[in-house]
Amino acid sequence: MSHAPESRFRMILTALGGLILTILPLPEGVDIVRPAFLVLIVLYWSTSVPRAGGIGLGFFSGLALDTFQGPVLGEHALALSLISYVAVREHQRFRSKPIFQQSLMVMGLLGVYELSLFVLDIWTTHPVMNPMRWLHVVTSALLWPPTAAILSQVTVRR
Amino acid sequence: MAVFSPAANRPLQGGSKGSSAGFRFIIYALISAVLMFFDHSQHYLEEGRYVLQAVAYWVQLAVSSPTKGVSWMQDNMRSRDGLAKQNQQLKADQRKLELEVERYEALETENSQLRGLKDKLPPVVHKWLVGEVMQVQLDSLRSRIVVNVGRRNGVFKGQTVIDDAGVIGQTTHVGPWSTEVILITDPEHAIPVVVEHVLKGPDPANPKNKVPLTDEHGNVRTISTLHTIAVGAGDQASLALPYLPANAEIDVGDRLLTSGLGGVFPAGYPVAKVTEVHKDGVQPLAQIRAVPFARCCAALAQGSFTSDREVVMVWFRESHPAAPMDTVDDSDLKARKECLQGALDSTQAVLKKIQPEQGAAAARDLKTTAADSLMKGFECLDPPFRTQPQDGPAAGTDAGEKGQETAHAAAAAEGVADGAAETAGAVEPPAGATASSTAAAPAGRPAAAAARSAGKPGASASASRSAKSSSGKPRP
Repeated sequence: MSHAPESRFRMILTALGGLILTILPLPEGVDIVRPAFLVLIVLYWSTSVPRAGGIGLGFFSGLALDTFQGPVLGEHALALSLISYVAVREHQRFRSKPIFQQSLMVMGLLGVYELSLFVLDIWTTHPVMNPMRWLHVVTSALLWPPTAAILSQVTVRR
Repeated sequence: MAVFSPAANRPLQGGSKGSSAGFRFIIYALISAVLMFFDHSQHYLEEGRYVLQAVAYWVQLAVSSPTKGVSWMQDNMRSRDGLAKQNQQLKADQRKLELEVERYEALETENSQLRGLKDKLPPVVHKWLVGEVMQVQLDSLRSRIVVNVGRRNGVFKGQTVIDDAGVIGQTTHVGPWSTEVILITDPEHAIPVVVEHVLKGPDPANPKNKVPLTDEHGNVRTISTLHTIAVGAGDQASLALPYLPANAEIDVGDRLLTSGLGGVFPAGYPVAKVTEVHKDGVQPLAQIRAVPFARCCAALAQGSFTSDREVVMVWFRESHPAAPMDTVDDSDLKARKECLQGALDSTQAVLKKIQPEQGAAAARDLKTTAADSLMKGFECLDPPFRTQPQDGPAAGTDAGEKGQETAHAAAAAEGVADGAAETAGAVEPPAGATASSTAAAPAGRPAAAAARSAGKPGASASASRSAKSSSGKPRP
């Protein structure tokens, strides 16, 4: 628990990296399947270092997403703090599973994330009915094992 | 004891961890909800947005720097031959533009003479600022760009953004050094336009209210009085015109120009070219698509919008006749509304008289009467709108939308009357409303709202409200 502040610094750095990957301009075809890097990173930190403030990270990452691409401030922030809360709560169950089951759980969490965004969209603006918006749930889940492997290299080990 | 302490600790620890996480989540969720509430329904967070945008500027700068570096290298590596060729091309372009300007000046002089003015009018735009695109946001729902000029350069919210080919959009969130621009192709954006109809052939009878202009092919171009609203179609490349009746004078190849209504865009700027017109005999509304002239949007269609593009923010003279009409006199508006309401009511009263057992001839008579009383509704729109000097929320589109509504009602009513005459079946007024709402359904929510209210005059206030919020002023 004493390494929480150290982790916090790494969390912020990786989250910034994830944000840059999220807003990096990509060609149109690739853009649709672009995994939600920032969400994956938030989920990683919430499950592996649950004491270091995963929910706060989720909130502020969501706020950053709202600044760059949200229709209203607070939309991504709410969705992301919701799933990071679930991840923090269930981190023991999550970590005890093999990596592929973790992928499946990540997919479920991303589904919840996207669903809550959809619901908030209905309240705030016109919702996107395009089924393509759900596509990144799958690509992000596929990208979970490599993301977790890479991030575990930067996690503080004791 | 040693056995007990971990067992006693675990539930306690787990409990406190769970509750503190839950507590934090509730706090953050509350903050998010408050943020959403204030940002969405109150627009109180402009200052907060401003600060966030300032921070975001540096991230965007970092993200856009690699592409910028590449294009800078390309610029530096260009060969002498290439530069010479480009130079020649530019010179040719300049010559062409000079010729155009000569012709334009002659036209300006002629125009001011026709208007009875002593001096030539100055151009409506008196100041402009070139900005570079830093970031492109293209979800399935959002078409927005971020430009590297902001409040420090004098950019304001709701400013017109154009490029050398046409209107691109308007500014939504202005930061200190960067500005978010909503493109006209964004489904949440609507732009009031007027149709420039091309009449084929050299010399048609000169219809009322139209000024013919002959183009280089001998076709007559007229700027018709067909005002409508073009909304983003949601495919990032085209606009939809969901509010035009099936008998509207519009064809593939017609140009759409800004009409100056709505208080944002100055009049007369090219917006888009009509590419698709579906006039279904059954449906009262035409389904029309148009492709924007602006190069940004054409490039978007091909997915080749690179971030080293330039756009132009414009400032216009407020006293100029082509400047956006900001507000319409309330009493004038109210009088028109009552006039239109009366026309609609009398039309509906006539339509209600159509009974199945009357036979075709009587139904046709009633239909003519209905059409006549509807035409009275058009007369309500005839004199030009009085504008108010002070500014306020954009109410200018209300009046335009009233015109739309009459057109709607006309289309819907014709559908009803036709149905009655041909099948002599029992047709109630709601049938017209459902027909028009099915016609407009693919075009998105504002269309559906307007169509819904077209059949019932009581709902016109809500329709005009939705039109107000959707035309010119996007929800941020």
